[in-house]
Amino acid sequence: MSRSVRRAPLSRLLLVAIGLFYLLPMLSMARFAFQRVPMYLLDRDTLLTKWTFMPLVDAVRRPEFATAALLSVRLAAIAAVLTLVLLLPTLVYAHVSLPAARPVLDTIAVLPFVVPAIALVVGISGAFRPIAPWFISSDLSLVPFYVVIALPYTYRSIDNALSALDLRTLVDASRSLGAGWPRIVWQVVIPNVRGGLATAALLVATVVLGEFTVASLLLKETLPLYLAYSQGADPQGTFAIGLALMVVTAGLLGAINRASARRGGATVTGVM
Amino acid sequence: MRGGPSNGRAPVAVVRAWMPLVPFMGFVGLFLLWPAVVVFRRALEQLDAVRAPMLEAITGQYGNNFAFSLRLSALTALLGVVIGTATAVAVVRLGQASTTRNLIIGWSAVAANLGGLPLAFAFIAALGKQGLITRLLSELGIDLIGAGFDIAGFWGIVLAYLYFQFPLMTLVMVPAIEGLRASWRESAANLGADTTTYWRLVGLPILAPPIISGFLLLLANAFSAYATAYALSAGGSRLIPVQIRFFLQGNTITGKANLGYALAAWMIIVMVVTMGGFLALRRRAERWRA
Amino acid sequence: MSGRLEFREVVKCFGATVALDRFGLMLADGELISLLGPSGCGKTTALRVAAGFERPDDGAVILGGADITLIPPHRRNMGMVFQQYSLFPHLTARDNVAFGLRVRGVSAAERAARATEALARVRLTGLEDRYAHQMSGGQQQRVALARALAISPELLLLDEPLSALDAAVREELREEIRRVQREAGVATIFVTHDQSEAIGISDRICVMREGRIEQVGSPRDVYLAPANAFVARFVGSTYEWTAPGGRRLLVRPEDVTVCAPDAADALRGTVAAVLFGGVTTVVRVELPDGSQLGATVLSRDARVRVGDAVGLRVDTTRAVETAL
Repeated sequence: MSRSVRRAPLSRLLLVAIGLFYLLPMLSMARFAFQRVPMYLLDRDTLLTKWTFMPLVDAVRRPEFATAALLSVRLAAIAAVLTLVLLLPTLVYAHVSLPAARPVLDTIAVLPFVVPAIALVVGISGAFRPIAPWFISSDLSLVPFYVVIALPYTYRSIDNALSALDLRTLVDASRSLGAGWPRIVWQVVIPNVRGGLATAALLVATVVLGEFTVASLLLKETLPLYLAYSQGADPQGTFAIGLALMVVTAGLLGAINRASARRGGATVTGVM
Repeated sequence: MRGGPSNGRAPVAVVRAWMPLVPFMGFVGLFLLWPAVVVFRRALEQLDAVRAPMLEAITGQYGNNFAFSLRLSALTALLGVVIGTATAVAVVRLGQASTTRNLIIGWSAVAANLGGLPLAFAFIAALGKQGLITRLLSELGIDLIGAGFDIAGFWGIVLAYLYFQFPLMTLVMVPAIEGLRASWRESAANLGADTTTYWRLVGLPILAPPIISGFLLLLANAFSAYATAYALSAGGSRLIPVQIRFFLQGNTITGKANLGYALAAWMIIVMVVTMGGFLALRRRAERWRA
Repeated sequence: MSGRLEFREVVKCFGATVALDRFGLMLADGELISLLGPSGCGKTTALRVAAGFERPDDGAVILGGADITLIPPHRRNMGMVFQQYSLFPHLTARDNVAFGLRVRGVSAAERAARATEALARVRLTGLEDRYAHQMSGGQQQRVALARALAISPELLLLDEPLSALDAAVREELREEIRRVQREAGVATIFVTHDQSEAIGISDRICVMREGRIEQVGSPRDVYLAPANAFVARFVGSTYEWTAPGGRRLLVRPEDVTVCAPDAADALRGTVAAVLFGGVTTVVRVELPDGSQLGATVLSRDARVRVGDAVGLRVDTTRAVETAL
């Protein structure tokens, strides 16, 4: 059995077919968004005419878009910070002082998978509305739920980054040199897990860019929701924004993947 | 184990050791577990009433919708398993150094997380009544609309779901297939197994856990999807996530509020079973891979 | 359960690299021959050609008189043990060992019995129901050995089976392999880069370099009468020394004796290091011209210290000439 790579034509065909399957919807979306030619007028002559970026530019200039985008950015930033503040000390402590807790934490980290967003929203409504309606009506109420939804991925990212260090030794060495816990975390741990932290923050951003269910049913106006609201008023612009959102998400995920692959850490593969 | 509790320590010491973990666990408890508990609590109210919500959620009209959701999810999961695995095989054949392989894996990691409204829009733009592909096909003589195809219908949703189901399966299978060590193949050959026998006795049994766990993952993934279904409304309106939405907006028949909770509760149960199975199988596959 | 294997003028190239250059070797029934050499010398390639995983570009492989060069690996009836990770992860030890029998259609009851017996022969009774990930490296290799022998192969191929193991386990398993191989009486090729392993286990050693054979002989011959400088350096330790008359020689430390510095015909030098090695000690002496020679003495007789002036007598009967 020679170890040569076989190029079966069937494989090639499959990959080409898959490639088309992924490309065509995107192309169609781009065409609808960026070409000012209605479908019934589209033929060979008009195919390459009237392409413009204006729909995207106009849509971005709309005040509703700015509001939604700003909200999403704010929520993403706060959720990212909250994630790091919550996870880093917890994981550092578990790695260094309480390894027995790690399996428990690992299990907790995958719990968000068993509560789908729609069920979570039902629970949020039933749990918080009677007791703290002010919480639900605030836009910031989305933040803790974004943290929860992103948890399986962000936990993995930070946990992997910490596992790659010999944390116990680093901490022991620091403490023998007289450093207290805050200094240890700030000056010893964080610089060495910067990649994992950055990845976690980007993962939160990715979630916020794409999360529709909870935001929609709690009646917030985030960026993903903007797409739903503005569809009637500005179809081309909405599609343009949608495409742009996908491109940005793809870019984020691509950057995350490349960074993690280089460090041998968790890649964004769903639950892998 | 420095700083950790050992078996002989007093309970107070154990509690103190776990204290620093309270913020994290409390956070998850408050914002994930409590809502889930409330779902079940409300769903199990009126358990002894004539029409218990938990029962009604899975019988009659809602039972049909539940079955429909599961069928659609299973179908996309099955198609995802087949195509995703085939893609993984094709990709692995390219060899680890191939740029195409890395491109495909990178794209799969992205596509597996795409979904929601933008994806639905993309499919409408492609295969809707005014879609580009629809138009292309009609130029070639194929009348999609006339034949009854509706992007917002059952098959439209299946197609859209496959967009993120295929790559998810590919991501599961590529490491699984690459994890088939050459030494297993060669050992089997030494011991007399030809290619067919190898796959029958070694290859497929080793790939079975990843394949099954992939199926469960895809099943859970499709079953819990909301945004895409919502955006492709007509065909998606029978799906459980969208049905739950109707309850939340108050578009309900009076007296049936707890039905929404029951539906959500059953959703969680389905997810626990499928994701539980997925995680268990993945653990086994990882043990073998090491 | 034995076979006579012959490599006949085997040539194998990978691209521009020549892995085997007209490689020719004959294996007698029941013999254990080691292929010894640095990485890249072609020893693993030769093994894989014998197994059928590589097809030679030229030449032939003959087993028991029949030309098997073109026969695919699964029809060659050979047993192979890899460096590591060769056990099927989804099967217990017993089922692993029974695999070859299952492929041959042996009944379930019989193959379970034969597998248990094979595992007993490698002294793993009690572990039949364990999986690979539940066993240590040494245990896994024993199972691999039992599995390879269970099919009564015509040839046993071992590809650096001890390299991935801890030193202590390595010694023990080496003896085990030798014992089991002798009991089974099967011709065996053992690939290794560790010369002490090869010396300890083989009937004959084949020293290889860059696809060619440097020397084939018993461990004694290879060690005491190396054919050239490469073999002398690779098997056992040597010191370079320029003899009076200009010849550059490779000398083994056991051929150098320590004597009084003013003894007749003795080289004069200063002790640079005393390297205790258990039973023996190597005394490294620096000569006036700057070069060093080592002399092996029994530790209980070693009485010199660093800095002492000593004399050395060199027995050159077994020394090998070297160009550089």
